[in-house]
Parts: sequence; C-alpha cells; structure tokens
Amino acid sequence: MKKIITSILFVVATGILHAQIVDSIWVKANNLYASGDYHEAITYYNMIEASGEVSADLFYNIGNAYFKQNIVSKAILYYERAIKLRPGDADISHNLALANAMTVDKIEAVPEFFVFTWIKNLRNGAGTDTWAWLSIIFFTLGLLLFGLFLFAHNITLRKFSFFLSILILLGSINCGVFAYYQKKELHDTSAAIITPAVITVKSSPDTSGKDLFILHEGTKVTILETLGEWQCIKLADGKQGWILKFAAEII
Amino acid sequence: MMKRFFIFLIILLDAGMMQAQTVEFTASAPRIVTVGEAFRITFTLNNEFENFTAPDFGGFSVLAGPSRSTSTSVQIINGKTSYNRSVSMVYILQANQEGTINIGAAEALVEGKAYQTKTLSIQVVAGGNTSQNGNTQTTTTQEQAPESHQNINADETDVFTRIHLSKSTAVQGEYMIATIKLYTRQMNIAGFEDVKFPTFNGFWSQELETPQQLQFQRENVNGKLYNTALLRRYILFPQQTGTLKIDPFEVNCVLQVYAKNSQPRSFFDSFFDSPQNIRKHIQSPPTTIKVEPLPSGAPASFKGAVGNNFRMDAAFNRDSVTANDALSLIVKITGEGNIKLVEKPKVNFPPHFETYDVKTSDNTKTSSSGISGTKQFEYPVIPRNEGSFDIPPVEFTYFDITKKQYVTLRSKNLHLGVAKDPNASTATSIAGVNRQSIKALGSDILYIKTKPLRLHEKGFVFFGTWSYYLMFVLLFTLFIIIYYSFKNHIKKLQDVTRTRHRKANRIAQQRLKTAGQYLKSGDRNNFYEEVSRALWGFLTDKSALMLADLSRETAREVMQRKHAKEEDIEAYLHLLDECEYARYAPNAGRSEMEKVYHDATNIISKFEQTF
Repeated sequence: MKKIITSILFVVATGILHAQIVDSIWVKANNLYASGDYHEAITYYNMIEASGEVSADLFYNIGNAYFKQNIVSKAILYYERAIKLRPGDADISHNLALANAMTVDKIEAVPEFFVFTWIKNLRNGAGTDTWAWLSIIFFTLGLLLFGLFLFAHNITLRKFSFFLSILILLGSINCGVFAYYQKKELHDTSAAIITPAVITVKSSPDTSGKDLFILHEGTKVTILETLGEWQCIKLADGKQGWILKFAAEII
Repeated sequence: MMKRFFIFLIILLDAGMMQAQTVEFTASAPRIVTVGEAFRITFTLNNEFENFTAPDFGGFSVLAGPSRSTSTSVQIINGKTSYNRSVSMVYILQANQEGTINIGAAEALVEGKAYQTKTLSIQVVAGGNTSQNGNTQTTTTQEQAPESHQNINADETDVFTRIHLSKSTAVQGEYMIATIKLYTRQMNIAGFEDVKFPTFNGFWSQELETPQQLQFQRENVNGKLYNTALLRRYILFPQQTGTLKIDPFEVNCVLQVYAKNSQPRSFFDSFFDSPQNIRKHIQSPPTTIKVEPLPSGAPASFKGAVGNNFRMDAAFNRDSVTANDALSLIVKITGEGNIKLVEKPKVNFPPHFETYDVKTSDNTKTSSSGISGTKQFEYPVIPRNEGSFDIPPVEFTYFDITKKQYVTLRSKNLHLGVAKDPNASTATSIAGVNRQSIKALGSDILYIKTKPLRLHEKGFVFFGTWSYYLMFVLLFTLFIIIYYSFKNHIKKLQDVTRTRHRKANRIAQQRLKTAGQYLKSGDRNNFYEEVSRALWGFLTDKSALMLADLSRETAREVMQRKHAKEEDIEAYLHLLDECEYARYAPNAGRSEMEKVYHDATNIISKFEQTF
C-alpha cells in the first residue's frame, strides 16, 4: 500500500499524471470520503490538484471534505474556486451558501441595481466556453438569415430575415461579451478568503497602524493592491484596510 | 431396626454439630503505645484449652501476668440453650524503646489440636514527656481560658483537627472521600460549639454515615500518640479543574481539664477539684487537591459521567402498540461513580413521535468506596403513525477511571412495531386529512460528485483564443464566398431572361415579317406556323418561361400577371386558337390570313408597350 502511494507521489512529482492514475486516486478519495475519513480524502484530492489541472468537481469535493471537518474557511475557498470554474452550478451554490452561513462576519453588501443582478445571473447561467460557442452559433445563424435576406424575392420574407439576422448577430455579440466578462472573472485574482480564525485589519501597511476592525475566517474580500508583506483589502460593504499577505488566500 | 438406625444418626449429627463449633483464638493489644506505658495484651480462646504457650514478647518487659480469667455465658433463644465459654490470658507489658515490635503467635492445644493466634505488630513511640516541641500543623488559639490557664498542661489541650482526602490528585468527576478527624491527647471532651463544616466549593458532595458517638482510636502522629475520633465523612466529586481549595473545618472544643497546682496534690484534691471547662477554637489546616481535566477527544455522547463498570440497558416498556398510544423507553444506567450526576442520553426518535419530558429516578448506595447504583430515565413517547420503526441505538459514554479512557456503551437496536389505531375511523381521517408541510429536520451540504473526473488545463478558456477568432473569420469568408458564387449565378440567370425580354419584340417582329413573306407567297401552312410561333415566343420570352411550360391556361396567367386587359387577353387567345385551327383547316381564304396577320401585329405592338 505504502509502495503504491509513494509510486503515485513520484508520478505526481514528475508531472506525468496518467488519466488512469487520476481516476484511481479520484475513486479512492471518494471512497475515503464516503467512509468518513475526510482528512485522508483531502490528501488524495490534493494529489490530483497538485497535477496543475483543475476541475470544478474536484474543488467541490475538496470543499465538502473540509466542510465535514468543520474547516469553514477552506471549504468556502474551494467552493469559490469550484463556482469560478462552473458558475451557476446549483449544487456548488447550495453548499457555498451553507458554508457562508457558518461564518462569523455578517457583511451587508452594497445593494446593486436589480437589472445588473439579473444580467449577472443570466451570465452565470453558463460558463465562458458555453458563451463562446453560443456566440459562434448565433453568428452562423445570423449570417444564414442575412443570406436569406439577400437572395429572397418575397418582400415579407426579406424584411423578416433582415431584422431577425440583425437581432441574432446582436445576440452573438452579447454572448461574446458574456464570455469576455466570465473569462475576466476566471482570471481575476483579486478575490480572496480570510483563513486565520481572527485577524485585525489595520489602517496602514504597518504593524503600528491603527486597528480598524476585526475579520473572522471565511470572509470574502477583494484585494486592491499589494505592498511588500501587506495587502489592501476591500469588503463587500465597501470597508477597506490593510492585512498581512498570508491572512487571505486567493481563490 | 430402622428406628434404631435413625436414633444413631441423630446422635452422630449432634456430636458433629458440637464439634463444628469453631475454635477462635485471638490476641488483642493496642496498636500504638508510648515508651514506658503499661498496657495489656489479651489472648482469648472460646474453648477450654489444655496447654497455653505464651509468645516471645521481644522488646517488651512483662510487668504482670499471666492472669487467667474465664467467662461463661448461657443464652436461651427460642427455647434453645447455647453455652458460650471463653478463657482469657492477660499480660501487662511495658515498652522500653521506640520502634515497631512484633509479638509472635501464642499457641494453645484444644482437644489435642494446636491453634495459633496471629502475630501482632505494635508501634512504640516516644513518651508524652517530650511533646513540648509543639505541633506546627495545627493552629490553636485559646479563646476563653479561665484564670488558671498558665497552669494547664499543654499536653492536655493538645487538640487539633484535620481533613483527610482519600486521593491527592483526581480527574474531574472522580470520587474521593473527605474525612474530618479530631486528634486529642485526652478524652475529656465535654462538647462542641459553633461547628462550621466546610462547604466544598467546586465539588458535588454527599455526607456519609458516621457513628453517633465519638469512637476514639489510637494513632501515631509525628511520633506522638493521639486519640483520634471520626467526626464526619463526605464523598466528593470535583466539578471543576485546577487546584481546588477546601475550606477549613472550624469548631470550638470544650475540654475538661484539672488545674495542676504547683504544690503536691493531696489525696482529697481529686475529689473536691471540679474540672474546669476551657474552650479552644480549632481549625483544620487548609487542604488543596489538584483536579486534572478529562482528556480531550470525548465523544459527543459524553456528558460528564465518570466511574467504573457502567452498564446500560434500554428497552421499551411495551413490545407493540397502536398509533396514538403512549409508551415509554426505559434506559437504565448502572455503575459506580458519579451516577447521581449522569445526564439523560440523547435518543433519536423518529420525527413524528411525540416526546415528553424525561422522568428520572435513581436508586443509589453511598459507601466509602463511592456511589454505586442505578439511574433510570423514562422517555414517554406517543407514536402518531403506524409502521415499523427502528430507533438508532442509545449511546452513553463515561470516563473509565481505571482504564483512563472514554468508554461508549451502545444499546441494542430498538425496534418498535406500531399498529394502526383502531379507534381512528377512516371516514374522518379522509375528510380531515391533516396536511402538513414537510418538516425540515436539518440542513447539510450536498454529497460529493462521483462521476469520472474531467480535468482541464488551468485557466484555459476558449474565448479569446486564436481558434475562437479564426472561427469567425472562417465563417465570414465562407459567407462571402457563398454570397459571390450565388450572386454570379443569379446574375447570369437574370441576364438570360433580360435579353430574352429585350429581344422579345424584335424576334416577334422578325417572325411576323417572315409570316408576311409567306402571306405574299401564299404558303398558308408556314404562314400560320410562323404567326403561332411569334405569338407563343413573345409570351415565353416576356415571362422567362420555356415554351414547353406554356399552355392556354399558363398563357392567360402570364398575361394577367402583366396586367393586360381582359379583352386583349381574349383576343390574343382567340388568335392562338385561330392559328391552331387554320393550320389544320385548309379552306381559309387570303382575306382571313391578312386579318390574322393584321391582328397579330396589332396585339403584339399593343403588349410591347404594357409588358
């Protein structure tokens, strides 16, 4: 058994991770999770994570294993990573909401104009790749309809196909914009989760800075800038302050 | 014969019973004596003996003895007479030096059999004369001493009290015995006043039974002989951790002392001297105990039970019930330890069982070895629906003191079959179905995903890649190519029709011209054919149709589409009919031919303008 693990580790280290080995580790980790050995399950999941490749399912399972061990900050971190890869997934959002309910800090987010919320929800309904493919499909459809407009003799058919093609081409552009924003969010490294149980947020990047407020583990923050060992963070309600780099783990 | 045998048997049994009376041979002496003190050692035998051999008294010198005393007692109980006879051999001994001296076994022969006493071990301590060096462990204050207190021998007021604990360290919840003892050099204690017993803060305490009267025993304290008496005993269960302090025990002791006068006492003094009552306030030294916390990692079902040999039993008081019928789950926990403090174990009944307050009762026995007994929990429930239910086993965890670990007891699986309520009439239950919203029993995260894993490169996104943009470029180029190829094809088609359309008049005129030549030459057949071709050809060219597609009906349609007048259409069609007819009817004259020619020229020139 030990031999197998070390050989697996070796393979992981050399980076030639076979799909077959990944599958066997995946099944093994899932079985460990099912038997309640969450700690051991995480070590196996981490082996897959160490390969450098990502998967929403993998992050979701790691989040679950941390949640079962009552390590809420880590659970939230991995749920956030999972939902970043697959926005709008109902399972991940459900578990993330449960984990967020266990955090100490209650932060009232600045209210957003409802249309933006709708658009955001629509955008999160699919991943960036889906939007990209949709934009291509709509573009094709639009061109076909425009062709119909160009060659049709019937005047009503021409009118109809012209407007529809314009509409669908606009839709294609919209899908492209959605894909662009989702890609931007995916590559965005400013969101982070507070990992220590309690940290004090300072007014300046200095230990002598004035204490502004206290944050607890699991709170989501936005990193605005980094200065040496310090980084400036912003909360959902607009509060800002400086914390040490290690205190927030980037999603 | 038989009768005689029975009598013999009875006699035999009787004799056996006589012999069965056990021979007891004991030795008794004080356990502790002082140097120079005279004390007695007694050897008692409950039977007549033949030969007594005294043991070697070692370091003791025999002052007197042996003196023999015999006692006989006759008891008549319910008409049965029993004799009790005992013989005692008494020696008076004196110790010469300090230390522990063993006295060997005495031996006696009873009916030829040798019996021996147990060996005795006697501790000899320094005499009372050297006791002036004080006792540092007691805080003695003389509160109320009469005028002659300077004459009172310190020895006689040397009285103090202590609290003894059976353990110096304990874990939280482990039992221990606290004993309050009184130490005194003399026994003339008239009474106690202002007794203040400790409150045992941080402990759960219970008093143990103590004898009503003070029973003094000899005890060696720091090489001095004291008479000790047990005042109170408590059983304690520490409820807090850390170093716990026990409040001192305080009492005012009333002692009877005789004043010692400097001049020699006369014989009568002791008769006429009344003893003086002096009060002494004594206080036990502070006692502390270190209480260690229980090890971490206690199971969830642990609720503070500490002890040994716990057992648990869980059962329903009825095997089967009908719905809406009450029954109880009875959980009995038996063991030694803080059984009185055991809390009710959690039982997970099915959600639609109605549960009520748990009834608790206990039956315990308190002794110096802790509290043992049974605590019973009764969980009254009413199942509201019929069915067969499995209740998860009841769990109870306690900390085992001897094993130093948590032990979890699990009851067997509890099964309960609930029959349908016979009193509930089906009619009403349908009419008034009690609809309930689904009860939320708790929320948990959703289960992990177990589908085969599909990994992809970190940060790889199709959008914005070269292939994505290439897709658009390709699609657009394809569109342009298709568009142009289509356009050229259409143009070509359009060109053909347009030339035909443009040339239609010219061709028709040419055909009419040739028809005119045939008219002049009188070639009737060719004439009609040429006129017919001119008429048909004109329509086909104008409508971009093939000649084969034309018929009388389509021709009418073509003309109607071109907005020709109805009379013109009729005239045109009539001309076509006439040409067709004349070709096969040879009797047509020259004038008719001229009229046809004229009409055809007219109508074509007319249509040329409108078409």
